[in-house]
Amino acid sequence: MKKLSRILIALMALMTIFTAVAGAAAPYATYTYSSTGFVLSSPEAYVPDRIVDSAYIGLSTAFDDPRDLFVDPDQNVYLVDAKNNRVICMDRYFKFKFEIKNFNNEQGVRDSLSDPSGVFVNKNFIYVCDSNNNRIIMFTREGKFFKIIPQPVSDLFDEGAIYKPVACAVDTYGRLFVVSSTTYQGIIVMSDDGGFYGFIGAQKVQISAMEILWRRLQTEEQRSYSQQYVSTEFNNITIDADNFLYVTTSSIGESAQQSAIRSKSGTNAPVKKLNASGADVMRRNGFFAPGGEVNVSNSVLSEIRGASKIIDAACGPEGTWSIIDEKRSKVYTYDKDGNMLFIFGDKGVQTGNIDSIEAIAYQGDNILVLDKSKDCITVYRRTEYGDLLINALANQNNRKYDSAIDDWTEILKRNNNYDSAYIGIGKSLYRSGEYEEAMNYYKYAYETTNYSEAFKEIRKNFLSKWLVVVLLVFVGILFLIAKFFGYAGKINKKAQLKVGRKSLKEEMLYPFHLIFHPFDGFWDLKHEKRGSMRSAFLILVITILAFCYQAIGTGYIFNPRQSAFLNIFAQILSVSMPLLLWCVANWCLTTLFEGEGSLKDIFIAACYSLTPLPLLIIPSVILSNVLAKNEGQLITLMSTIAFVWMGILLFLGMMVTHDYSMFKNILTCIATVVGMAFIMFLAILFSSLMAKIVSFISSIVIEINYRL
Amino acid sequence: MNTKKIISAALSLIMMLGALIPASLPKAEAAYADKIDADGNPIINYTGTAYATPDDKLADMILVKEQNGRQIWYEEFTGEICFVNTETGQKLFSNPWDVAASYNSASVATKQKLLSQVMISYIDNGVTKQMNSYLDAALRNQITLKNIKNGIRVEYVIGEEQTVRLVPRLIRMERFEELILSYITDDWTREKVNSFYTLKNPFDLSLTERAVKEMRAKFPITEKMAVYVCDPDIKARELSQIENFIKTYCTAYSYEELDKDHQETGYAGQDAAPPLFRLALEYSITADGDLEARLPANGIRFDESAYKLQTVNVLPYFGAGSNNYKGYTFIPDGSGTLIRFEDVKGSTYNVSGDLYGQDYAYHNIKNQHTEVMRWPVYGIVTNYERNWKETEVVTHVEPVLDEEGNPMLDENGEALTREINERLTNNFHYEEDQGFLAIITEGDSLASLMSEHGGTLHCFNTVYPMFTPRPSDQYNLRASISVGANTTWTVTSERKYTGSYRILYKMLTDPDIAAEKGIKDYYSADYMGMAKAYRDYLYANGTLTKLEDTTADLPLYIETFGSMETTKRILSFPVNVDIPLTSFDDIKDMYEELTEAGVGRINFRLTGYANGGMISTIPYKLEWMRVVGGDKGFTDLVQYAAEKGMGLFPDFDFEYVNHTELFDGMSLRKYAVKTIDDRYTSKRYYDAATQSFTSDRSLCVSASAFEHFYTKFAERYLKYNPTAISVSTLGTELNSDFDEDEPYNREDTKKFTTEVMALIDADYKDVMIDGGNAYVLPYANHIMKLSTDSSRFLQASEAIPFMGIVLHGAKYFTGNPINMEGDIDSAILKAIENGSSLYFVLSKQNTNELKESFRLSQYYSVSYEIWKDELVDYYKELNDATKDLQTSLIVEHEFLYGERIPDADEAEADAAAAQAAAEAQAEAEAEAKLKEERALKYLAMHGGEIPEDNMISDEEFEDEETEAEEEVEEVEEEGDYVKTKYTTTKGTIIRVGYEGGVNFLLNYNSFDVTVRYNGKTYTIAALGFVRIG
Repeated sequence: MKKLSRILIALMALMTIFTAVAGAAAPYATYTYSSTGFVLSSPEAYVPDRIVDSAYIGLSTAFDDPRDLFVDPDQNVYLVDAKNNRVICMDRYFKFKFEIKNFNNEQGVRDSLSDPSGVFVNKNFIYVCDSNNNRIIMFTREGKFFKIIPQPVSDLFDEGAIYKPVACAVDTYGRLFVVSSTTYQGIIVMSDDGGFYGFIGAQKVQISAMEILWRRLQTEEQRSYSQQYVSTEFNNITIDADNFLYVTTSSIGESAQQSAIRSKSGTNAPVKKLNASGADVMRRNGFFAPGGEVNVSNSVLSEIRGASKIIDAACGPEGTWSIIDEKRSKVYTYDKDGNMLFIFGDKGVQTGNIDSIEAIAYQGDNILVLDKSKDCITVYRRTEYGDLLINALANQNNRKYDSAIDDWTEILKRNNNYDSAYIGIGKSLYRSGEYEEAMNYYKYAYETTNYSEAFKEIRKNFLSKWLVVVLLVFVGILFLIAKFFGYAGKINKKAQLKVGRKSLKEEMLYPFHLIFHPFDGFWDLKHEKRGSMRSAFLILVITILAFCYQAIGTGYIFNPRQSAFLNIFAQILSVSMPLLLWCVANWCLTTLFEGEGSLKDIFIAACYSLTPLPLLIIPSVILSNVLAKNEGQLITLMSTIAFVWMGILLFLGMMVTHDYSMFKNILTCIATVVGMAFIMFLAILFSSLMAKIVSFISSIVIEINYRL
Repeated sequence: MNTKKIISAALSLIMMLGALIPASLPKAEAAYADKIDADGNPIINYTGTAYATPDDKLADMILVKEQNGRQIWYEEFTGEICFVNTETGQKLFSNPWDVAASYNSASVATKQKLLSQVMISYIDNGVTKQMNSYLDAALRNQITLKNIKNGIRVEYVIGEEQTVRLVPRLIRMERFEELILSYITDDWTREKVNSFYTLKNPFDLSLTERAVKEMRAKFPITEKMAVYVCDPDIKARELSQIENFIKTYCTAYSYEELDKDHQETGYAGQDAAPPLFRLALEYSITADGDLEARLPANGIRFDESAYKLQTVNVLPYFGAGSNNYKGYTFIPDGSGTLIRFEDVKGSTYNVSGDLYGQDYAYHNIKNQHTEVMRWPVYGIVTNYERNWKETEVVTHVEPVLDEEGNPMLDENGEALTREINERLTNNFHYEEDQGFLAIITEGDSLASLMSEHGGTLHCFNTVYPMFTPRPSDQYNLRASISVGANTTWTVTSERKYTGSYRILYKMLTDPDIAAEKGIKDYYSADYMGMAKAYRDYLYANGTLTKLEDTTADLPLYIETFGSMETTKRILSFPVNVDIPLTSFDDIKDMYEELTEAGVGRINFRLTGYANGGMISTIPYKLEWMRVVGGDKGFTDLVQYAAEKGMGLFPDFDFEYVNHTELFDGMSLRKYAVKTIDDRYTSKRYYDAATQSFTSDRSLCVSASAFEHFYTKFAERYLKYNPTAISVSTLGTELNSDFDEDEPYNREDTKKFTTEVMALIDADYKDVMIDGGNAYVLPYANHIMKLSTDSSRFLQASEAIPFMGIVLHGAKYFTGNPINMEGDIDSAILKAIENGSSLYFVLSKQNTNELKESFRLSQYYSVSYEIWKDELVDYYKELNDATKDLQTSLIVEHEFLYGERIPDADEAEADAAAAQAAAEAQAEAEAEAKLKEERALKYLAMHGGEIPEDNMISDEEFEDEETEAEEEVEEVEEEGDYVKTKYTTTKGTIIRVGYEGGVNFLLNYNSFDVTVRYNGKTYTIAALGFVRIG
């Protein structure tokens, strides 16, 4: 299993390869994920414009250990310089305006910041999280001291809990939302004079049943030593223009976080969008839930592995928002529906790469990213392609769907790989009734749900036009089937009376009798020689062909990437291997338990009981081409019937062939299944042993080669 | 094997003969004796003595060679040299002349490195160790000077030369006392010698039984006799001291006796031979007056069974610049990178890169996003500056005056005089631009360039090549049984490099000195000078030739894709079919449409038209894809191209093969590159999602097979009478081959590549390549994907268009495809700065299908229909700007400062601030006036002086005012440029000057700027340019 998964991972790795022909402008590749989780390169949406360091700003003391970055509504930039205990304010061209370091507090006493770690600015005030002093301080926009917001007081705080604000946000009503690094109950909501309103957004603790059981068995002392199950702590907070909060966390288990991205669940999401009451209102309508990298490597050999570590979020124009991954130094940008727009950034020492990413902020069309270890801000400028994306989103947000289609077309011109654009155009076309065109676009993105909707419309149109013809054809087919069965019945009756060898036609029509009359059918099969090896083989071949047809002929909606997985050899094996195993295992057992059937009898009976499979699978495959996605149950139903029917036939066939009682037959059938498993186990054991021996010898040979 | 032995024997014989040529340098030997004291230690403290000027250093050196107006001076102890241009008097030192004075915090070990001409690193038992020529050769007096034609040869013995010391290590007690101790008459000496020996006497009754047992276990010889054991940890110096004592006193003790003793006691020398490397560095003056340094790689002698030589750094500190001055290092990273001393001052910064990029025969691939160093050039420029004071005492006589100011008279009635000594301090200033350009002319493909900036270690900035004489690679032994899970195994190639490492140093000249001396023909000491020097060098050796003058339009390059395989469903059965992306007829259509729109000189590069399309087999047979027009289509197209004068460059890849099938001529066993552990290897790409390198499944083809494939292929291709071919990868890739039977290093690959390129060049009028590695430049005349920018390292200062400056006017070249660029405006500016043409990757049909192939999905925007109009616009923009400059050389390049045009609100704020300042000034003046008036009034009323408190208040007022003024105008000056708060950062506004006085001002900022040039002010739009002249 492990080996198999390794092979699968290797295959995945091979398929996700893509190459960057990116120009010199950006030392990273921009990409998105396709609907099926493949990496697709994309034009650059942002390119590095300049590096802003202390010298650029014009600081006499260089900043060190920067913690946070904020852009106010007038595009002034604020930088928290933790090492020098100050907040630096720059104008929109990153030239120094003033710094907040020392101030006279309410008592007129000289006071200063200590290890500040967050800053927030609105129309009137600058809020600084003075972490080491356990307080938030408000300054006017000119940098003059205004007031201190002390630690909120409430019974909800644990006794002795430390309040250490690291990030804060203020909504338009003046409510403060504070992330305290040592508080796990959630985000603190308070008034700007320290009045405590409550906690919001606390994550439900999830403990597995096993852990609950284990904790039951532990003593009090053991429990105190073991891991504390507390809800996750948040690490950053951002507020958008509509007072929604984006909160990020990096304390979720990596595998839980990664599966949440694939299952689009919000429970273990590393980034959430909260409303004022703390409910997660994030839309996760993209191919994957927002939360950083989708394909992550878990191999020990790779340098960067595991889930993304999300440490900051920022809100951009038109409902777009970005998060940053500390592990990968990358920026992930999504739209307000949670569609991934683009991913860019990389670790490194070139302009545009980030050594140690710390914070992100939007400044108009620019993205600013703070590099903690290189002590600089990298300014990324939006490209023409980025502008196109934003335009498209703006039109969509303003419900100008006609212009949106133009935008998506324009985007597709620049980025042929962009699945969202195909879907966007498809949706627009669907809305304007051009279903066939829409289907084509959906097909490029491998989008089956919407494809199915468009297909339904086309089918509806077709049916309304040709209903009579369709009905007539349907009745005709039914009539033909009935006719055929009548004919088969006639031949079978004749053959019953015929003595001696039956013709192939007679043999091949016999199953149509057998499947409805299994008891005497199998009896005659064995004793009246109604079937033979050649017809049994023929049925087997027809069944295999039916499965091959299923692999290639299933409708697009039910198997969008079918061509990639067709392998005739695999189909042959998947049908014939279990059948042969069954025959052998059954024969081995029944010879010991007074079974009357020979191996040949068993094989013929087993093959004849396969008959329902091609009979039902072939129509179901044909049907899959005319059914919509939500009608898929019909196909499932048909194949279920086919398999159950086949099972019953096989069971009865064995019973009749060996002349067993019902109880004995049940026993031998169960034993046969066990026997099959046993044979497989032996085969696997043998082959893996052989593989071990081969690899042992080859590694000895290789090693001798190296050492000599 | 045998022939190799004979050759190496012959070569070593030649070497020995060379060494035997009597060195006619009596002066040198005489001087050398002056350099060391009796113990062989240097008299001059090289790491501690500070020289004030380069001339002081030169005074301690001797002149060993003079010709062609150049001199080589030599320092006998350290092996340093100085290269002097006698016309200008400028000097280039092989090591910094001010090592000692430079930096207090530099450790002695660092200074020893700074004094080295050669540094080697080798592997001793799996541990990498370093040695340098100062510590391991100079301090052991193991550097010798020889005279050769046109120059000198400095021979180094790096490491300890092992000699047998006349010191018994294990000796029978009686013999030691008899032969040695009894002879030493001096008590102190005897004591001293004895102190290094321990007596091991088992017959000593005072010892316990256990002690005796232990002794016997440790020294089995004590079973038989009592012995003296010499201290096993004795140091080399102490050993030689004792040897001296024995030689002086113990006349009876000889080497024969020593052997006898050691035989008797069964002492076997346990000391392994210490590492010892012999190599020679030759300096010669070329006919052009340049300095050439050569280190013969096969002349490096060492015990190859015990040590593995990893790298050799040749002249690592040649012309190094000090942080005390301004200057920069130049490395050929991408289009060229400058690292200014002042930008990296204070922190240690090293950046390195392999010449000619990745070698995919190796397991480890790094440097994902950096540009490749394609040319073997580097250089350093230093603005040497010296300010000093000289004080002189001037004595002059003056009359003595009395209280009233009248001259006093002595009793004779003569005026009384006195002598006054006045100290006059004169400030002197001396400035000189120094620099050099180095060209690695041999062994370049085995080199990686290192730009080293000492920062906290030392104050020097330098660039040097690191050579790898014998390639080795590591791989993970995961599958192995005898070692742990994650062990790496290093294997060294059987094949070593036997050529030389040869570096040509071109000295650059200070323009002021040149003007002063009346020298016209020189290269100025800046990066333009370097580029011109290299350009002239390439013109002189025939690599470059001037393009014929033309009035035609700028060439345009379009790469089109042929066909790709995709899966189509026919009757719901999946079938693999070829679909055309751009057929031969499409090319004609595109040509006609674009020509009509006013685009001239269109050249098509045809990728993926034969042997399977985009994913093709090796060019051996030649089958044009049917869906793009087939054989007939190509024949027609060739004819059409000839008629219309359209460039037609079908591209064939000889370096990689991404698809193999039966009978395609490819035999992996014979022609594929193998890694050091004998596996096939493929090209690798950086995967942005996992941030690691992954294979792209295109196998590397051994360079030894290029000629085989090309000749077979050419038989078929030449039938069409083509005039041109494109062999993109031959210009960028250089893979060695670790095949066990036929190993080839990169220097071999380089040879194979140039050989096949020569064949190709002879067959066609036009040859197109990618990248432009230096060694293929002579054979190609169209170079695509040339780097137009540097890697933009955070610490690096500026990118310069070094490649563009050299190539413009001699080759046609382009940067990366414009339509794949993220920032097209910048790319257009870069095209102007480098003098390059435009290049597009476009296809006409089915571009949506590219998404389905993971190899081709990188081409996300290549539809011709989309780009058509923009292509014409961009082309016209560039054509209008540079059409008439196609054959003009780029002669000037300069970084300018400009002023950002302030926004309306900023201008308003500025005006308000200015007004406030003016008002404050007026107010202050009024107040001052008032005060003055008051003071006058006061004077008039009271007479005498103004009371002090009034003064103080005045002064305070003045202070405040000046402070306020300073805050408003925070100005900083550089050169004669007065910076304001709107001044742009350096490197974002560039002036490029072409021959004939045409200048471009380029603005790389994302905002509009004004810039002053030549007395005029120009306004340039964001990411725009202005053409002057």
